[in-house]
Amino acid sequence: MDQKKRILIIDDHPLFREGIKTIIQSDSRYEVIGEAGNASQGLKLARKLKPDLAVVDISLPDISGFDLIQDMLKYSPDIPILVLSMHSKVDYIVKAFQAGASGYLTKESATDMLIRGIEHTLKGDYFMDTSVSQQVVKKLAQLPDKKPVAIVKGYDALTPREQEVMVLVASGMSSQNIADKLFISPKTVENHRSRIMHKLDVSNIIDLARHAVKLGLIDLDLWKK
Amino acid sequence: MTKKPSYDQLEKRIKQLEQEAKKLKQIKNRLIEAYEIIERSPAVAFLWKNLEGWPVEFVSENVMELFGYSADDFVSGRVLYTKVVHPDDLKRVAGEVANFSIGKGQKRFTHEPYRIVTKDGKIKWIVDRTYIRRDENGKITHYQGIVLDITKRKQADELVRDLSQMLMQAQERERQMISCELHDSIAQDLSTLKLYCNRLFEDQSSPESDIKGSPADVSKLIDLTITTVRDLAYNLRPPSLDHMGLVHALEVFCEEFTENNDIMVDFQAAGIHESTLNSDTQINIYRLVTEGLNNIRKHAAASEAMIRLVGAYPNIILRIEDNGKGFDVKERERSIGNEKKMGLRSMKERVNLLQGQMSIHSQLNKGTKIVIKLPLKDKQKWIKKSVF
Repeated sequence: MDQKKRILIIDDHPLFREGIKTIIQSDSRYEVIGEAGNASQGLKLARKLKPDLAVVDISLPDISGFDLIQDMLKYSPDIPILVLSMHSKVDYIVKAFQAGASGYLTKESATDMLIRGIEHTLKGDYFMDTSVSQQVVKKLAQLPDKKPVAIVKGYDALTPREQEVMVLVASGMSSQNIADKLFISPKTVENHRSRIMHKLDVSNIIDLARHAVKLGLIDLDLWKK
Repeated sequence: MTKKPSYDQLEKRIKQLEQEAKKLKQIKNRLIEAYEIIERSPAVAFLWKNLEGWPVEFVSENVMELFGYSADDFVSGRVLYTKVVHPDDLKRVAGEVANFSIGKGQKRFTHEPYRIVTKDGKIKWIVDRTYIRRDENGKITHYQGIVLDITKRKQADELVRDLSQMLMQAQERERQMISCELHDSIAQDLSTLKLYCNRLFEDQSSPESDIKGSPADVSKLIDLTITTVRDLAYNLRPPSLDHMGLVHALEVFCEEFTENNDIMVDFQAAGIHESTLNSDTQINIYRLVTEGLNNIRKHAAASEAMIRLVGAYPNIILRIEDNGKGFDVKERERSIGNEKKMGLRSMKERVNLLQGQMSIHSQLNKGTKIVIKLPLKDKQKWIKKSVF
């Protein structure tokens, strides 16, 4: 018979830890070789014991499970990590996988699906419990019509000062007026303006104003009021 | 050489003079009365020349109490009025004077409250009602003003706002605590309970016939309870707000709102640097959006809503718009206290506490637009410093 797969549990809830330990140990293929109640202790154990798999909670007292996953993968990039969390929202699941997790289970599914989750992730597969996979697929199905907006990206790159100048430019103020208002020289305003236009990838003031409307900086209908 | 006046003429003249003197005395008495009233009142009367620096031509003696400078300090020109107006407010005050001086018909105006710096460096808030005095050609020669100390009122306003703010923060803290407790503790315990329950049933080799089939029921019930607790926690305060940030939490809220109601929400955020927003601002923006959308759901009969959150340093602009049935803004304002208006009112309250501005634009059958502008910097900081 193969050697038992060695599993590390990191969860701050002792009773819950005990519960899943029992589930895991009831299967002769697996053994729990360590338990930790926080991330730093978990990391230490992971480095020392070199487990075959880690079961990790997201809400931990010291750092978040997301950070823990990343830290853990830095030292042992090959270890499969199965997240077992109270959070059932799709954003948590996405973030866990982004951090490098191999599987995601909500805690209430542990009874029915923990063993399957362990099996799959140990094989190198990704695993998601059915209650969350529905949400994830729905989210994925929505994605095509939600195209990433280039304008937003450009605007996100502006500094606070550039935002300030952009609002004034878009509302039709001259460089001189903006300079007076912000106590800077008109030359500096011009510099800001060309940098803004570069970042937003526009070549004239009309397009800049159009962007400002799309972003919600100004509203042409309310202009006169 | 003039002819000597006759006795009669002299007597007539004397009588005339006596009468004039009597009149003058009356006028003088009235002037003294009026002056004393001013002197004893908290109002300071100013007469400024319409010249650079607003030199003071006349000011009532009680200026001493409010400004710490004597009337002579001003009238002699040793102290210019522009020097006592708080430097941060001077531009605005001057702007108000300039604006109100444009219209020929304009006779009087009231400044927004502004600050002055007294002789010993204290900062006081005043209201200033000004009357514009013109010559026969309509040219402004003077401004005459009544200036009142409202520092105490400002302090009281400030106190009320501080208390309301604290109340709101306390409520948020409480919600966060309960939400966290529900989610991380109670829901967690329930999950653990479920784990043990299942094992308990498994271990029972020969369950009594009447509890047969109940493991699945118990399990289902616990699942249901977990869902309820989790939803409750989420509604109190979404954990994602603390873990994922404002924009992300709003995205999720809008998506779920779209899913659960027949209202398509188009959410977009740009230029929001979350690290620069304190958690107070974040939770308040989150609440404003959820309140706004809930209002739309309850009252607007809209099929679409649009949320725009955009950083416009030194402000954040939040737009909440819908294509619903709209309303008459003025009429709505009159019917204050109206049930239906509560949603908007609590939003306005929140915006006021954050020292932002909120404007509502709506027309019957043409949807509603709410524009909220929140300051990123705490503009009130210096007031606290100076007043307390």
